[in-house]
Amino acid sequence: MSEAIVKFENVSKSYGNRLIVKNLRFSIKKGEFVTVMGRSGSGKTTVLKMINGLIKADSGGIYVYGQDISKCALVPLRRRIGYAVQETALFPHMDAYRNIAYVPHISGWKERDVKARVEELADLMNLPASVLKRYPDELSGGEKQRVGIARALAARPDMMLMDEPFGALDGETRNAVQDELLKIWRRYGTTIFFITHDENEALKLGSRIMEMDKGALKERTERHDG
Amino acid sequence: MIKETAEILFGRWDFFLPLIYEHLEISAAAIIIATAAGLFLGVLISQYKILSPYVLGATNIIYTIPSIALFGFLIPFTGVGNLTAVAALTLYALLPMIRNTYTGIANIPPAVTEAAEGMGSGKIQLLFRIKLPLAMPVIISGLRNMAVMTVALAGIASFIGAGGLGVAIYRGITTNNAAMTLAGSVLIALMAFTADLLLGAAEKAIKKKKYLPLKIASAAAVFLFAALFFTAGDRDGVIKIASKPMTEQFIISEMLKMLIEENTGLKAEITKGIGGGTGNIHPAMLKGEFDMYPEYTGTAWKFVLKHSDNPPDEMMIKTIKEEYEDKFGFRWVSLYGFNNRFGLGVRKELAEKYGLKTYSDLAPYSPGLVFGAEYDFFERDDGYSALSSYYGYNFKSTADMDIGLKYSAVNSGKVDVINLFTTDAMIPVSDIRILEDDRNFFENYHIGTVVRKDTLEKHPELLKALELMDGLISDEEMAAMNYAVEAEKKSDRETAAEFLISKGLLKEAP
Ligand SMILES: Nc1ncnc2c1ncn2[C@@H]1O[C@H](COP(=O)(O)OP(=O)(O)O)[C@@H](O)[C@H]1O
Ligand SMILES: [Mg+2]
Repeated sequence: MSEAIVKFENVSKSYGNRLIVKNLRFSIKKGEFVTVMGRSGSGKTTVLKMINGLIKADSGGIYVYGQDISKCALVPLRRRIGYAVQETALFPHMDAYRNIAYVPHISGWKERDVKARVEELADLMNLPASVLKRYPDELSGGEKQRVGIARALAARPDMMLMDEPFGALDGETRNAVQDELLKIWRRYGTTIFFITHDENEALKLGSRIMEMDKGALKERTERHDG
Repeated sequence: MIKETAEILFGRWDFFLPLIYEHLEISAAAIIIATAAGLFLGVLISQYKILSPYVLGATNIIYTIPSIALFGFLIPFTGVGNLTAVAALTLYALLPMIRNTYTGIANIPPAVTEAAEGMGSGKIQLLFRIKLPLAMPVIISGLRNMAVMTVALAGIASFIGAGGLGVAIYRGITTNNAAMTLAGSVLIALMAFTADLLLGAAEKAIKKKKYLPLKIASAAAVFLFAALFFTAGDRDGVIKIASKPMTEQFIISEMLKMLIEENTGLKAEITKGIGGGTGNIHPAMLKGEFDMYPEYTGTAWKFVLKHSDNPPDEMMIKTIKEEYEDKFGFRWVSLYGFNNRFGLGVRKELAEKYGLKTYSDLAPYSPGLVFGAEYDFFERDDGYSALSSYYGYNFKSTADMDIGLKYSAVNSGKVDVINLFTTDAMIPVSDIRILEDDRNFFENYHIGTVVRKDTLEKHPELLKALELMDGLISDEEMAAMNYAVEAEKKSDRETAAEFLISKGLLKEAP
C-alpha cells in the first residue's frame, strides 16, 4: 500500500546563482492527496514541473512510477500523469469536447472509446452536452476549471499534477469544484499533487499538507476536521 | 480613355480570357509552392531558433532585389517563360510566409504549449495539433498579403516571356496602346482584389472558429487548382512561335501562325514580346522551348555570331545561314523583303533646303543642326559617336528622348535630325526624309524566320507554309501596318489577317 509514486532524492535546481530547490528529498505515496502551500516564488511550480520533466533538475534523482525520469521516455510517461494549471490553459481552438478528448486522441484511442470517456467525465463534472460544444472563450470560469480537470483525468492517469487550478475562481464556484475533485479522489484513489496559496483550500483538500520554504518541502501536521 | 479601355475589355474577351487563366495558373503555382516552402521554413526556424537570423536574412535580401534583376538572375537556370516567372514569384512570396509562420508560432501563449507538452504531446503532435492551428490567423494574414502581392507582381513576368495579364500591359506599352495597358492593369487589380476578398473571408472564418466551411472551401480550392494544372498540359503537337517585344514582330508572328494553320494541319502558339529579345529567345530556341521566331540579319550577324565587320548583303546572308545550321541546328527560311535597319531622318523642309539625300550630304550642315535619339543610341559602341566619326558629323547639340517622342520633336522643330528604324510606325505620317546610308555604316536588318531543324524534319509540311512569307512585305507596307497597330489601335491579329487577305494568301480572317 505504501509504494512511492514520486520520489525526489537530493534534488537541486537553481536559476543563475539563485538556488530555488535545495537538496530536496521527499516522496508521494499512492493515493495521497498532497497539498502544497508556500510564498509566491518559493519554488512550488518548479518542483511540480520537475515531476513531469518540463523542468530538468541540476542534480539528484527523480523517480516517477519507479522510473528514473532523466533516463526514460517522457512522452508516454506524461500521458499517465494528468496535468492541470492555473487559468487552465485550455486549447483555444478546440471546443470543450476536443479539449477533454485531447490526451486520448494523441494516445490513439478509438473514437468510440473517446466519446464514451468524454461523456462519462462530463457527467462526473456536471458539464451539460451544450457546454461541450463551446470554445474556451465561451465558457464561464467554473466551466473552464471543470473542463480543465476533465481533460487532466481523461486518459485515466494514476496521478494528477495541479498548479493552483482554482486560483481565479470566486468562493461559491470554487467550493463546488473542490467538492467534485474530492469526489473523484475518493472514488478513484488518484494520487494528487496540488499547489495552492489558499490555506483553507489546502486544509480542506489535502490528506497530507506541505509547505515549500527555503528550497525544501516541509510537512504541516495540523489538520482541520472538515 | 476609360471608354476605350472598356471597349477593349469587352470587345476582346477572347484575347483576355486565356491571359486571365494563365495569370491565375502562374500566380497559383507560386502561391502554393511558397506556402508549402514558407510554412516548412517558418516552422523550422521556430523549432531551431539559431537558424532564424540566417533564413530571415537571406529571404529579406531576396525580397529587396528588384524584380527585373531577379528575373535576369534566374533566366540562365530556368530559361524564359512561365517556369522563371513561377520561380521568381515564389522567391518573393517566401518572406511573408516564413515571417508570419515564425511570428504566429512565437506569439502563442507559452502556458498553452507547455500544457500540451506536459500532457504528453509528441513534437509532431504539438506542431500540427497546437502550434500551427493557433498560429493560423497570423499565417493566413501573411498568405493574404503574399497572394495579393504575387498576383500583382505576376504582371511583370511577361517581361521574360511568361504569359498572364502582363502580356496585355507589355503589349500596350510596346505598341503604344495605353487603353490596352490600362485594361490589363484593371484586370490584374480585380484579380488581386478577389484574392484579398477570399482570403479575408478565410481569415474571418478562422477567427470565428468556423472550421468546417473553411475546410470545405480549401478542399474545393485545391481541387480546382489541380484540375487547372492537369488541363494545362498537352501542348506537344503545337508549333511554338516566339516574338520580340516590338509591334512588327507581333504582326509577323500572327502571320506565321495563320499561314501555318491555314496550310498545314498544325496548331501554332505565339509567345509575344519576350523581354531582352534575342538574348533570351535564342537560348530558349536552343533548348527547344520555341520552334521558330522572326529574326533580323544584323542582329544574327553581330549579336549572335559576334562578327564585327559589315560585308555586303549576299555574303552576310550566306554566312549567317551556314553558321546557323552548323552551330545551332537552325534554318533561316525566307526573308520577308523589308529591311528594318537604323536610319537617319531629317525634317523634309530642311532636306529640301540643303538638298540632303545621303548621310554624306549631312556632314557639312551638321554644326548647325540638333540631333535627337533615344538614350540607348548614345550609349552603344556602334551608336552616335561611331556614326559621327565615320561620316564626320559635328552636331550643334544632341538630345536624348523617349522613342515615342522623337517624331513629334522632329516635326515641331525641337530637333532636326533623328535616328530611326526604317519601318517605324510614325514614318508614314511624319514630315521627314530618310537619308541613304551611302557609305554603308549601319548593317542591314533583313528579317526572316529562324526555325529549328528538328521541327522542320518532324513536320516537313511547315517549310512550304513558311516560304509563303518570302519577299512578301516592303518597308512601306511594314511601316503602314505598324502605324495601323500603334496609332490606329487595330489589333495585330486583324492587321496581319487583312494583309494576308490582300495578298491572296488567306481567304478570310480566322
Ligand atoms: N525560467 C526561469 N528562469 C529564471 N528564473 C525562474 C524561471 N522560472 C522560475 N524562476 C524563478 O524561480 C523562482 C521559483 O519560481 P516558481 O517555482 O514558479 O515559484 P512558485 O510557483 O512557488 O511561485 C521564482 O523566483 C521565479 O522567478
Ligand atoms: Mg507557481
